[in-house]
Amino acid sequence: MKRNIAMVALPAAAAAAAALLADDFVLRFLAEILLFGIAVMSLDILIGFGGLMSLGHAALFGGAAYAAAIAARQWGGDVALVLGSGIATGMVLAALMGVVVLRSGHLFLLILTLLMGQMVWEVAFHWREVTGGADGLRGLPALSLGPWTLSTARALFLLAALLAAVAFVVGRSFVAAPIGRALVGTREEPIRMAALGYSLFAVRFRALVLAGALAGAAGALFPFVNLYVGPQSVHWTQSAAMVIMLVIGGIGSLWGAFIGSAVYLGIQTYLSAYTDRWQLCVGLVFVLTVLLLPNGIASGLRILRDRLRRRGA
Amino acid sequence: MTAILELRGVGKRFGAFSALRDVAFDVGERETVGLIGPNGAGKTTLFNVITGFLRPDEGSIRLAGQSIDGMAPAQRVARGLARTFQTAMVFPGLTARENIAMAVRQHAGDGLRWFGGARAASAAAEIAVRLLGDAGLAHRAETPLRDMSHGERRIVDALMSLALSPRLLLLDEPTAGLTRAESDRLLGILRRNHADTALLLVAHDIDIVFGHCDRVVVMELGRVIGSGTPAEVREDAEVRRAYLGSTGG
Repeated sequence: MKRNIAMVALPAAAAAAAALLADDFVLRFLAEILLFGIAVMSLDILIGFGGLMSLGHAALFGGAAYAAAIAARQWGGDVALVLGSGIATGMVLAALMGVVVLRSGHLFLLILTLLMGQMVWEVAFHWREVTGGADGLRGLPALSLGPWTLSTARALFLLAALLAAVAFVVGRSFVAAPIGRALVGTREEPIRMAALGYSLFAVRFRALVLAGALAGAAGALFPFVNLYVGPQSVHWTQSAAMVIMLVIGGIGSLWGAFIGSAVYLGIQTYLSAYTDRWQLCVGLVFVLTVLLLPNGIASGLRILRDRLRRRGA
Repeated sequence: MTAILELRGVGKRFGAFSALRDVAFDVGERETVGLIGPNGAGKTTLFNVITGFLRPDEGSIRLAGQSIDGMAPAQRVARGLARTFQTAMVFPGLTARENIAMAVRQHAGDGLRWFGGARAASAAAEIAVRLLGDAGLAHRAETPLRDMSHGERRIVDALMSLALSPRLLLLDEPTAGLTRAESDRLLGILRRNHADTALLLVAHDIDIVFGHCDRVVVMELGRVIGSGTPAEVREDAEVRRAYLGSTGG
């Protein structure tokens, strides 16, 4: 019980403090971390729990971002419309991807997800009239919730924080439910799962569609936080960046995704002001994580917490 | 005796090699049938064909009077056909309780549940603990499978299949690597608590097969070369030449 209260109170307090104290630039940056964190967390459900290595996850996130931006330009920035179109796009793209890729595994799965992702990139890059081509889409209307306009950095940050909280609860309930346990089973011993009567496809397909919905929800808000969506957001290198964020944060923990995206985007945002070679630093952090904390920063924090607890006891 | 499993003219080739040729026999309801034969006789291939993991090139298979040809493994499980594998095929990172609960949930139709999953999960956990208790492993319920002995893993493996309440259970060398006492205990659990389940059992230990089975089917080089009660099979000249002779049986 105490642990549950702490789990709710700590992030809520941190979000409230940030909303009160941080300036607009930092608030937009934090919102971006949270949105990428949600997408990386949904990737964690696939990789960490299902052992399904994907290099096409940015297509779900970025595809939803395009859909939300296009819908908002057409019909206005109502939050329900924006989130709804993003979630639906993420789910549809994930379902299409699932039908094509989920009968293969390992290297083939990796390559197929990469190819599917690049097909989305091709559409985004070449369909100029709708997606703006290489220039992407700018000049989006402000988000609105009923009579309120959510255009300030603070409002967008709070919206992203709320979405992250909901996404985390949804992700956790999924992995704790029988379907989530079955997903772990398909990772650990797929043949045994088939012999127990589970359809591997049915289990993995559900996980992929859920991941699409979560990444889609995050992607939907991204253009409004970033004030722009371009083809880079669906490119396979963006998918690879998400995998790197996940490894740094910690595979299989869900909340590590947010730490990983904070570290990666922190380096990208702050170090790139000093040097063009910020990716070298990402690489260094990646290698150090893999060598010293194979289960990511999340596992390091867990070890630290247990030690402190033991010392306190 | 009504047959739960009927095999007719089942054949399977791998390239030029015939792994199974014209295999035909029945397993009756609640019957325990032993399947014996030297290495390479095709016993495991036959298991894979029956359970849908391999597609036969010819022949037909009926389960409880209905054809199951062309069905995926999961569909066959849903019709009451379960199996174990030559090596204990378990989820090593999960506890004994969770291993069995995985099977219980699937059998109850809750395997893919998300909403209302907590209730389904606790009901499944309860059944899993009871099954472990029946097998004398209640104290190991919270132990991950990777920390259990080979014999215990074998028992959990069998319990997972039993949790599906199958009408027919195919056991591929369930007693391999077990002591005689462990083997007897495992087969005792199978027969004592699950008398309605028919068993098709592959084992190399002749004493186990002849001691526990109602009938024995003998295979050699992909063919059935004899079948009957343990006493009949023991006396069969061809069986003695192919298999038993070498063991002095």
